[in-house]
Amino acid sequence: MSRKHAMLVLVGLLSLSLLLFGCSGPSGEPSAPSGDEITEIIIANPTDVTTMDPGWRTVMSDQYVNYYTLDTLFIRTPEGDLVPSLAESIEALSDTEWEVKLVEGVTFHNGESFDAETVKFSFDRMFNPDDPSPSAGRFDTIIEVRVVDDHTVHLITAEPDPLVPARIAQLDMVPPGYYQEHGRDHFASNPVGTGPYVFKEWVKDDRVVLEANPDYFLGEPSVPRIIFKPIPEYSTRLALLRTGEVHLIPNVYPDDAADLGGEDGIEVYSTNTMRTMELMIRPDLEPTDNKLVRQAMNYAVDKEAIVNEILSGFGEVANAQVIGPMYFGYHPELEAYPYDPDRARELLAEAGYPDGVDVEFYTPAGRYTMDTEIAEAVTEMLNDVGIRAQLTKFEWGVYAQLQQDKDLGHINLFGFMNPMYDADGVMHGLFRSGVIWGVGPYWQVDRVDELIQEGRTVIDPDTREAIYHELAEILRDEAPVIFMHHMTEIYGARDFVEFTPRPDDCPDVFGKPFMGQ
Amino acid sequence: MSVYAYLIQRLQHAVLVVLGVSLIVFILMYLTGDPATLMLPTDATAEQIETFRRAMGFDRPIHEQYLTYLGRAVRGDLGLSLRHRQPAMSLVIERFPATIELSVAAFVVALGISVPLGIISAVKRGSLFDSLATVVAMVGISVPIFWLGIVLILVVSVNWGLLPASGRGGIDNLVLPAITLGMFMGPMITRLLRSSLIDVLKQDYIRTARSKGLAERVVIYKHALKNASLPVITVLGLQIGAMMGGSIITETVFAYPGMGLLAIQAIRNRDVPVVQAFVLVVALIILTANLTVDLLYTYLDPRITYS
Repeated sequence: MSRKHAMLVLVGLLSLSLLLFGCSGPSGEPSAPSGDEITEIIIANPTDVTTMDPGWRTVMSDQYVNYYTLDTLFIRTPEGDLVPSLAESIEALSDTEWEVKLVEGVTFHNGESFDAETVKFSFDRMFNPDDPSPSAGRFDTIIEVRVVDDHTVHLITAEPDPLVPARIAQLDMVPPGYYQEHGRDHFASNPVGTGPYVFKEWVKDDRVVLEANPDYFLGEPSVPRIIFKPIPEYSTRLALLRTGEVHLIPNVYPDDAADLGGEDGIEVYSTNTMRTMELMIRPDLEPTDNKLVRQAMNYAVDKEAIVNEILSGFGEVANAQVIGPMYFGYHPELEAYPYDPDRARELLAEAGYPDGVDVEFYTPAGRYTMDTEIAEAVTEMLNDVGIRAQLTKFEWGVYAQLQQDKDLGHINLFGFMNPMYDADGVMHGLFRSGVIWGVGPYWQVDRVDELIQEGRTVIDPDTREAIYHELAEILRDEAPVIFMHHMTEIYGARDFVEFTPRPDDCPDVFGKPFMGQ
Repeated sequence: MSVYAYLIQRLQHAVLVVLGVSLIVFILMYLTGDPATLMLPTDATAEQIETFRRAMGFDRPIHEQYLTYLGRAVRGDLGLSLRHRQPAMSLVIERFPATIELSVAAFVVALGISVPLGIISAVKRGSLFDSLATVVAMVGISVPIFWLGIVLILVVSVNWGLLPASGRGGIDNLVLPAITLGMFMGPMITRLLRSSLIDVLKQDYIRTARSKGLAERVVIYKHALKNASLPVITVLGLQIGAMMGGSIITETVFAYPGMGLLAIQAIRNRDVPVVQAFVLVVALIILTANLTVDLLYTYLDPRITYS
């Protein structure tokens, strides 16, 4: 190519790029309906629905559709309060028997009546021995649902279980007649519920369409149609929100939130979620079997800087515990480990490692908001005090397998939540010896095991609260994790969407009514 | 060897290839994670996971699982998707037309751009047009497919508001994904056709054709292009596999509901039956494409025989 030709080509390419990127803002502004003209709201999710059967759901997209089409006996408000939904009341008749009174006159979308048999069927089907629900474990303290009359059931537990109301808030009601006639696989793609929206259509990998249920027992919803679209690529989701092709996107990255919020026609919402990030430390490996080393790690990490710099302020530093304020059992008076690199070095020397230590640090890549960026920052901070961390990143499936094989590193990044809003789920899931996640596979602390067991079998709330406070204090001292931050979920929405973010991540775009409202 | 004997021999090879591919994929999926861990909630206990693994048959040795799979597969049953609870092959086949539609459109884009560019570049070798085409082709080869897709969305959909950025429906939904995937192959074809045509145009028989007084158009399109297209067709056949990989990325960027999008979700979820069904379909596509290319050789160059 001659030099003259090369110059002409370069000039041409530069002009083209200026034409492409020099444009200012969108030329085709999306139509923004006014409040009373809204006919539909389109929500973009990272994944398609896999099943609409609540017993077998595995991804958030499944849960979103369940939230709109089905109902539970109790439900959480956006503030996290447990309120009746298809139940009128619940009362403990004894330590092992609970009476639930049901709402009368509710029908499923296909006309089938909701009654006590519905509750029994919805519970029993989770425990089909040939086809057990992956979520059955959430309900397995209940050994029987006994039908007393058309609108009363008794829930029988083997041991006293204070979490029965929270557990049944996870159990979606399905119509026995329809389900038995068509089978589980049909129900998974053609769900029928009592909920505010009726399932209309699922075009796989393209859309799920729901329409308002005019006969919803708490009143017809204000938005006539809701559509879920799977858009796997994050940049595409952002672009579609900007063009107005979709109206709400979850999982906005913190560093995009400010830009997005400044654009015309777009609002940014955020809410604290149920999930807390932790760096699990293995107490069975040298040198992290030494409590002083684990405490040194907590002093070495500047959690404030991570929340402010990497998460752009979207997050809240955890006060040295693995649950947030919306959980029962939260300890409000614990203090976070301050960022104190000198103290970290002192503790290392005291532990017998004045020259520092070498540790393996594993993290999943792309599982949690900014997970690899957080892991890289923590690695730097640990290295600063002499904890020489070797960081390795894994795809989530491989990472989960390593955890199951008890083959993770000294430090491992995880985010945990439990939808029952109770310390029990997280404490048991992470710290009880012998469990498969968290620190459980790697340690056994008798007092921790005792407290966790007591917490799940004592009914009295004050006693339970004291149990979890003691447990939190032990865990702060033992430092089996580097306590990080409570996660914040960020949403972008077109400004005509009336949106209520919820801590359980279900995006409510129609203002779900609750009993008594 | 007759064409029928040749076809039978190729079909025998194809069976072995498909068996080998399915075994490798099965082992790789097995080694990279247990689906039960990903399917159960993180508060599940070890006992609950074990019960679930037993019910799903994941606790059996890998060779038993593979033989069971193979026994069903030869009867046409590739099993149920672990996530969707529907026949895995049906899920893939449902999305097959979308991927074929996208691939054909991408081929049209790739050939529509690269064939004229390649011919003009070769004929006008050293001209400004040739230089421009060379630079464009080099840029095209160097640009990552996901980047091009995102840039097209930002410019054409967000800035200009001209075309939808996602989904499947009309022609307008197909334009951006087809350009993205087409640009994946087009520049390479341009370069290959150009150099191949330049070589052919130096051959004696072309000089003879010109000396007979044939029009340049006839010399190029009738005499030169046919021979120059042989290496291009070879590479196109080999590129079908790469194109399937490209379609996974393109479908993900544009949320285009094809087989690629299904496959990437299935891999993430360790949905082994769906991954197996996808790999089987892709293997058959590649085998068919390669066979078609081999058969085309004898049409384009009668000196080539089956042996």
